[in-house]
Amino acid sequence: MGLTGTHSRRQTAAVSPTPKIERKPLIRALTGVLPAERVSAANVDRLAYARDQWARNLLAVRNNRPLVAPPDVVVWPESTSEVLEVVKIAADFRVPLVPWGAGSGVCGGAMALHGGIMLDLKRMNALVDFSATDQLATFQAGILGQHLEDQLNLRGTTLGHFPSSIHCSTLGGWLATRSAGQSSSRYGKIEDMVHSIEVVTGEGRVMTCSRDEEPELLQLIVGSEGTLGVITQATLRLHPLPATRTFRAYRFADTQAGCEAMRQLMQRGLRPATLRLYDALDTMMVGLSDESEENEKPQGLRGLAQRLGRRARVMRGGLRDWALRNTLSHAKWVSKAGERLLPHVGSGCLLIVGFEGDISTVKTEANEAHRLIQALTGVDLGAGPGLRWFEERHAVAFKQSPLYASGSFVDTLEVATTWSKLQQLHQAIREALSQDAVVLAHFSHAYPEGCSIYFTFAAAEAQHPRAEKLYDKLWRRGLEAAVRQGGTISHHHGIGVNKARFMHDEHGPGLDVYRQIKGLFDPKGILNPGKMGL
Amino acid sequence: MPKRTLLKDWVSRVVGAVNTSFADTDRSSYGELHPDVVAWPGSVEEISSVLQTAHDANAEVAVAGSGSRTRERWPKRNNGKRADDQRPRIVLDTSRLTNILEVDETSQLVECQTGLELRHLEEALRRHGLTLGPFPDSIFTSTLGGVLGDPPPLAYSSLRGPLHGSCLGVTTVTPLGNVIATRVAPRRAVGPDISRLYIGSGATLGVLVSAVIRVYSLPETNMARAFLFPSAASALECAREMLAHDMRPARLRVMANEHSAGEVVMKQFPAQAALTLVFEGCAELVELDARRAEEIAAEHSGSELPQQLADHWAERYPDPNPEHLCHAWAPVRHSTAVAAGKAAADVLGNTVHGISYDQFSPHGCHMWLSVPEEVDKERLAEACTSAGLSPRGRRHTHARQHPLTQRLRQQLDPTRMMLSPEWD
Amino acid sequence: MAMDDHARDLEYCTFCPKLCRHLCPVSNAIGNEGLIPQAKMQLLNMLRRNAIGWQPGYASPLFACTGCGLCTEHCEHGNDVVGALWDGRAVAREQGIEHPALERFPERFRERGEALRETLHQSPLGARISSEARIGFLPAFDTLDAYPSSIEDAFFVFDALGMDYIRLVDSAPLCGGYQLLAAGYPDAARLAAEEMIRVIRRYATVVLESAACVYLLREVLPKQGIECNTEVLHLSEYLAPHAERLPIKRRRFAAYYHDPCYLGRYLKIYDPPRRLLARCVDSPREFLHHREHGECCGGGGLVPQTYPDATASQARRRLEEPQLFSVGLVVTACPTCRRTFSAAHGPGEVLDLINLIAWAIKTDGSPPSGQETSQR
Ligand SMILES: Cc1cc2nc3c(=O)[nH]c(=O)nc-3n(C[C@H](O)[C@H](O)[C@H](O)COP(=O)(O)OP(=O)(O)OC[C@H]3O[C@@H](n4cnc5c(N)ncnc54)[C@H](O)[C@@H]3O)c2cc1C
Ligand code: SF4
Ligand code: SF4
Repeated sequence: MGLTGTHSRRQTAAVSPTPKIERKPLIRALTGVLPAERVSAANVDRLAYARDQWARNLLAVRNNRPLVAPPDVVVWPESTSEVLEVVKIAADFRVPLVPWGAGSGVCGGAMALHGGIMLDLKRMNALVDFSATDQLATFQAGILGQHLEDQLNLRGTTLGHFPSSIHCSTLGGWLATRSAGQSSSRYGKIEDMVHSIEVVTGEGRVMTCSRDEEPELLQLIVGSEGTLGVITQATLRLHPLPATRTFRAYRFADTQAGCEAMRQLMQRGLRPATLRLYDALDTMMVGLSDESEENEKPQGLRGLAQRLGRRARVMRGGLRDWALRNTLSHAKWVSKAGERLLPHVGSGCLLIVGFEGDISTVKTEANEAHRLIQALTGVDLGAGPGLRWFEERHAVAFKQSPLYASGSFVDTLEVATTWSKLQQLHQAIREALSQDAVVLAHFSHAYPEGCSIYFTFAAAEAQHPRAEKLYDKLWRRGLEAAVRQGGTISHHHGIGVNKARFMHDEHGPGLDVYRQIKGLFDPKGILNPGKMGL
Repeated sequence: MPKRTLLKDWVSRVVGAVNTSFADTDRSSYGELHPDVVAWPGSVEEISSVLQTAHDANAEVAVAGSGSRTRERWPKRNNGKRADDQRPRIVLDTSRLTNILEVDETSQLVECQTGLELRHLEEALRRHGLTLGPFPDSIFTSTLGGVLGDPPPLAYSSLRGPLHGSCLGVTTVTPLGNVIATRVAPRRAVGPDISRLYIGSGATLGVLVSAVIRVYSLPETNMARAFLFPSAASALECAREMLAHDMRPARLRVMANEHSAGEVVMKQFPAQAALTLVFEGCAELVELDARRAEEIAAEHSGSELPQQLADHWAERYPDPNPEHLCHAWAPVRHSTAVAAGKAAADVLGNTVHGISYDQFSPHGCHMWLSVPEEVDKERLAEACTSAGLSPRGRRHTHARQHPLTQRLRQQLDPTRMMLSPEWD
Repeated sequence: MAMDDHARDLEYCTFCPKLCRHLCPVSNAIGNEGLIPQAKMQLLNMLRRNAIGWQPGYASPLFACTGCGLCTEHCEHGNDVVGALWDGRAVAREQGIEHPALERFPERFRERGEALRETLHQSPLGARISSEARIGFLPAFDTLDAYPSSIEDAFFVFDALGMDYIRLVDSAPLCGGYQLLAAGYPDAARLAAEEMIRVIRRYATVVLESAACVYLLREVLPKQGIECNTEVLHLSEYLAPHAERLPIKRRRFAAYYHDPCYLGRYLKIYDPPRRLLARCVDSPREFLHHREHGECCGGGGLVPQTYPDATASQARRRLEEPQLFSVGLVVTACPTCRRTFSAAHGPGEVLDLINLIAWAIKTDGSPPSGQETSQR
């Protein structure tokens, strides 16, 4: 809108050369506050913490360089007071301290770029407090997502937060990156779910911020990716376990028509737990039918290779990998052909709508949605595609390994904007990426005022450093397009290292305010240095 | 003296002579402030320049909106000092910042300058078939800047959340004159949310110039219901249950004694507590919710009041406990709401007092305690303490600032140029 | 290098975003990123690819696996993590890297077996040993170690069903060598397996207490060309068809059933033990994660020796659920699970199914050594 234009000054992440870290005295200090078995400088542990899930790191590993950014020492505190002691030591020694949840972050946020202390929170995984009456629960930050959800389910409640990484990410990581789950249209993002937070600041203070008392600080810490403090526990807003869940899928001619349905649905005050629209290519990947007798359902990019390949049905093993690589290395051609062919052979765009909650509300909302969508030319496809999506909602991440193993790479880029700018944003990023990659997109986090777009792009390039170059180019192009169109550069994956260069475009002079905040929370600059363009 | 004259000169050069005043009548209309200059800026650029000018002149700046004049108590000018030793003062009056910059009907967003009163904004929105949401009338006389700078607790709907929660982006000018326009997107994951910093901070961290606010389609229909309960506990439990079961009334209030519900009602229909709610939105859901409200109320021994009364409450939707002017409120959780009310009542004993609950979410609500103006303030404070409410009356936006926020203020405004009002 | 057999799995795990990590009982307990399935596999893969060289510390993660198979169950690629890790243990030993807790493992293993055999033969149960019977019963090491009365319970139940023809397998206890395999001694394991086959060949049917051993005999050895024509059954499998004949009055109390990893995920034996349990108690309960998703007790894969804290903490974690619902009894069908849970000192009671059946036949009161409300 009016005054929210783009800013062109771009700054690279300020990487202050860290003096070589004296490990021995550091370890001695750490073992003074933690038992020796919870402090490790062993190579085997440094290796395990040397990278997170930033796709660029996978390229390094594929190239036999697994020690991308190893920390000097790893610690496993068990309590807030232990975290505090470790932070104080880091400050005394002026060494970097990187909070580590589960390392599932996809932007390099949890990497020890300058060595130092890796602080793993996973031993802090307790359910501290639970109130059924208030629908609030307090967990320590290191609990894995699925374990958190299990604890709540056993008590008849749910958080409603279902990121695809629910099995491999932690509460602290969610809060630190402003994570979004697959049911965000109903339950919101993690920043909407958090009631209060406990954090150890870089200054060495334990601070509690709640929605009621310190809302401004709460929303500063949430999303700060370990640059302001270590989140040690949080109180979350819960919901009763849904009594029922329904799905219905529709076909639209194009994303524009589909988005229009999503917009109207959200603005009508309906609260779908699932609202996902796939662009034509992604729709082809997911498939519209609800036949599940097909034993080997071709999905994701493997599906792409199969479907675009000439002899899809007979391809197996090595042959399939070959087809995959080939498809991806002709990305430009595939994109062009796709664009030209899809309207004729393609099946349109799939929209999945799901409701959950109390039986009568779900029924009414689903009816209302159905009426609305049909009036907007959505073709009813029944429950099948939605049910299948639900069953396989965690399956897509498994497609990553075969792609990397076969010499290709894949990554995801998620942006968001208001409804009025959404189509241009989609178009611009798609064009920017599809020069060199096969691009799929879906629209999966909808709000009354706008929506996010989730791009998956894949390309075939195995050689180092060509792969890295191509990878960086794709990101640069994609984010430049996002900035140009006035979209935000991240809806839920965060910034980390990967998008740090674009922080100025995103924030303008607001970045200076962030820097001042950083100076207050972390005067010695020990917390997660080299991230977020600070 | 020359400094002061120069300042006047600079300011009028920035905002124009017609938008600057040194007249005593104008200067004395800001309570204790007694500024040297009053400026009515019309744009971000002007504000930025005025602030830079003020900074260079080591002046103090107070941001005042229309309507704020009587409510606010500004820091007095240090009388002991000779006039020459005092820092010059500028009032930035936002009453010219009343433009609606954009109405995006597709995204249901409006970008509006902060000097506009909400009722005017609402009028304009209605012409587009839009509304700010089901907030009580009393807040509509505030300016947008007022409700964002110091969010009144009443600006809340169980359906829409707090009004300031609808703010998706802000344009502010920092005390040093830098313009910060946060990017507008439904949600972002790009670091701390800087825009939240300005909500509830008055003008201490910068001047809010405009904001992008989420608005809603005018509701298709609305429907009010009211019930009486044998006890405050059963009414509160009923409210909790409704919210736990997915119902999102636009408004929901529990009046926990006769002084809050109105003696007539309580006498006419003997009961201990009343619950009123209004649903709005699409017809099917409203009807469903109203029906389910009746069912859940019945399960909690609630008896329905005549439609007329329900409508009456819905229409007026006054501040809680209107007859009792001296309020205290604080957030409570569902699990402590009943006990908090009882504890307060014990302290207040025979003193006439109203207890009601509002601003409901599935996790808690606000408890409102009110006594007649003439009642001892300390008595009220004591009641609050014993109820576990922070005994601070209303939220002192600026006083409440966390030490860290205060330090941030010091950083952003090292010369403490921005004045902040104290609220009564 | 032997690890090349696992190349595909190792590669896929290396590039996997750690999708099964939440299931691994060892890494969940210890909280170390290096112990999640993906990290253990990547470590092996990097060693395989010579991206890094062997160091003494690199062996320990390979020993952080109970063999529960939860990762494989969850994995869309069906990656055989256990197979790779256990082969990796052998490779580590070839590199001269031994886990300190497992020194002299084969010798100690043999000694333990002999001592247990001696005790069994000396005990009154010795009279039940015979190589002449058609059906032989083979108790597990852990039973003999910790719960010898379970063998009496088993025979009590056999007798109650009129199966007085069942005899203890001669030269019991025997082990098919699963532990040796887990310790990284495939050759010793193979010898143990061959010895076992020689003994059980004499029976038409052997009924085993150890699910791991059943799995070995039924699934693993035949693939290696080691077959015996003897029918190999798990105790629960053997008894389940007779469930209705058990002279039991169903009791009014609740009990959780814990699926042992080898009985469940490996052998897919889920219903027989449930059928038996349902004969004993009127409200059998399921864990949130059960059947193929059932969590491990933490006691497999020699983890009690290599990562004792992990075992203890996983067992406690598993027992939290019955506690939350105030159910004081957990029933399983594996002496190792029972032993692991009991060592965790939960507030409730943990029994083997055979104990519960025997008790249900014998008495009318509360369960053997505790009931819903009992505290230890
Ligand atoms: C397969 C896959 C699917 C994914 N799907 C989604 C999805 O659907 N939605 C989504 O939002 N994200 C998704 N992600 C991204 C990722 O899971 C999230 O960013 C997640 O929030 C990271 O959590 P983590 O515990 O792994 O954090 P890490 O990766 O360990 O850390 C992320 C950042 O947060 C910091 N941090 C971690 N814990 C703390 C703490 N306690 N205090 C302070 N700082 C901390 C770290 O220093 C780092 O900067 C996915 C990732 C993968 C690999
Ligand atoms: S076993 Fe499967 S799910 Fe687990 S890390 Fe390996 S590839 Fe991923
Ligand atoms: S088999 Fe079980 S213990 Fe072993 S790595 Fe897999 S999940 Fe962990």
